[in-house]
Amino acid sequence: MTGMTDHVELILDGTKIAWHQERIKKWERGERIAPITIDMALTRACNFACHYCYAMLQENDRKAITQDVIFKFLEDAAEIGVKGISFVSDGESTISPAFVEAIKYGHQLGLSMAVGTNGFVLNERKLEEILPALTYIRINISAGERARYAEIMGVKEHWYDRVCANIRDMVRIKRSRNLDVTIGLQMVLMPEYEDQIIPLAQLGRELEPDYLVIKHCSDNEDGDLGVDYRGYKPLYDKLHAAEALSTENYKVQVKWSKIEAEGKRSYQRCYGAPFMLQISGSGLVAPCGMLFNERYKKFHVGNICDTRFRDIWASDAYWEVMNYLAGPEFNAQTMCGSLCLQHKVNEFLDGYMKENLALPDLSGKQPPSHLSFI
Amino acid sequence: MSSVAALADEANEADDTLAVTDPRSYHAQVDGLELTLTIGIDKGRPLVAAVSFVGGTPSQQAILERLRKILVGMPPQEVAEHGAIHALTAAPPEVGPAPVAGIRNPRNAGADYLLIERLLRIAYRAYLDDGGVPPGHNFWNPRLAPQWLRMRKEQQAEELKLRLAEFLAASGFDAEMMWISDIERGFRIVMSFREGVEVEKKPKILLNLERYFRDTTGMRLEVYLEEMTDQNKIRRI
Repeated sequence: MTGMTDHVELILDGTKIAWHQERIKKWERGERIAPITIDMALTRACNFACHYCYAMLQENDRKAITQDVIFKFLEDAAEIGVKGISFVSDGESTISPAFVEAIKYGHQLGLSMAVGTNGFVLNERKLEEILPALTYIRINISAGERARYAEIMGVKEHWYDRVCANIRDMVRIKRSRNLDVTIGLQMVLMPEYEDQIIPLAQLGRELEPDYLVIKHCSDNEDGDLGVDYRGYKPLYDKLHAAEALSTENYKVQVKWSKIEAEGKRSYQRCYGAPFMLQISGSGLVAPCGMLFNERYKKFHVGNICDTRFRDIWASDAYWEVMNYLAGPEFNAQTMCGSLCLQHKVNEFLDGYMKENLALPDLSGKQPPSHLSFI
Repeated sequence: MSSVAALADEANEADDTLAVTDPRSYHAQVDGLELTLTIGIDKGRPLVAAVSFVGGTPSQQAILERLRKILVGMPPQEVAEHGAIHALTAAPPEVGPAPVAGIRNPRNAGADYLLIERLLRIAYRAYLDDGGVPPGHNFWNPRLAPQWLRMRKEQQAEELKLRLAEFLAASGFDAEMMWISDIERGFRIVMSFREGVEVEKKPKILLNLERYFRDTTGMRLEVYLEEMTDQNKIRRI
């Protein structure tokens, strides 16, 4: 594979779970399966104060993920069959002292590694070290103008300049070293950020990462972040205009499937968690980031700072919670927030269990990029 | 009998005596077992009014006997989509299928459950072919007894305190270990633990308490712990 990713399909609005049929079959037979993807943070702390931040709703007992803890976790993940680890969760992983070494070690163990970040502390030296070990890096940037960036991301205006400079460095390093890493930008769109859709799409055209994805904002079951899902529809023309700014090397993609869902779920069972697990920056292992808060203690199955991950995964408590989510005791429509990480996986598996869809025959087809991140 | 249990019974009885109109029967037959769903209209919505069966093995009959009580009052789409998993959940451990290491579902519960799921879905398709309400997003959720929802929060808490005391005593915990700090919307029961309770033990205690509340009230109550607010100093600038 070359440094360019455009010859292989990059799925930015959908799920790749259908490419993991062996694991689906094991799950269906009632065998214990390792998650394909684990989404986690190395810390709960963050140097930004984004207006839309879901992590504000995820507080739990904090513990420190040291380099020793994360190294053991990565070893366990590789041993049980996890494919991809993304440092994308409820804290800014780049400010952890273990960040760079964790990425390099995970890659060395054969895991696909990825990062979601605000991009602020990623200087050239760190980028040179981590980019060769990453499958993708995604910068959270929800505005394309300095003043609005400062308002929406809760930082000083000149931080915008530094983040843009870091993105330029990423693109330059990737190209000069012909790296496979995919560089993306992500806009978490609240309807009130409408004025930033086009400026950000244009900024992306100037910076030339591989893509800009524009996604909805998740909210909890009580709507505490105040996301007005009806407010997205009037933005559709502008979103299409942003997509039209795509070039040969830069793709603008709106997550239409989630935005058009207007925060509603078609399913009640959560089947996705065993395939796609989340770990808080506190080390807490929970089926889903929406269940990180202490309020959802009944779903908390352990902490990697106290217990080896392989033991948590093999515990009856882990599978009891996963079974709770997959059975009639649970209803994702009323007991969870909106449009979670597992949403597309859940839709697929729910359709499969209801016999509304069959596993597709993918023989002879080119797998999409980033297969370890479903 | 506590008033909570009585209310639940009342709600269940109400479900057993649905005043449905235009009842129609839909049959499915596979391998010598015939299942009939009778579907009618109640308050403008389609509901399963009765479930009957003929034939089958003793184990299939036992499953269907349990299932007919659960399915009556449910929308036909819910019955087709989740009927078999409802049957699995309702099976007492001593007669249920052998446990699995991972996720339990009708497809790994044995041939009887697979057959019953198939029958439910065939009967549902017959209902659709007969002009039934087309499937859409399934938003069915078990109802709480209206009388329970009309009670003041303090009354609800008094009822549940009795159940909590029973649970703590039966589990060998002291009576002061945890208490109800709030009840949200009548069904979210927010608990607090006394200082010193081991963190690792809390999830299991909360899950077991929730099951106890559900078993003894017949309502799908949800148990939570007190929410923790964001501790990130930078975010709170």
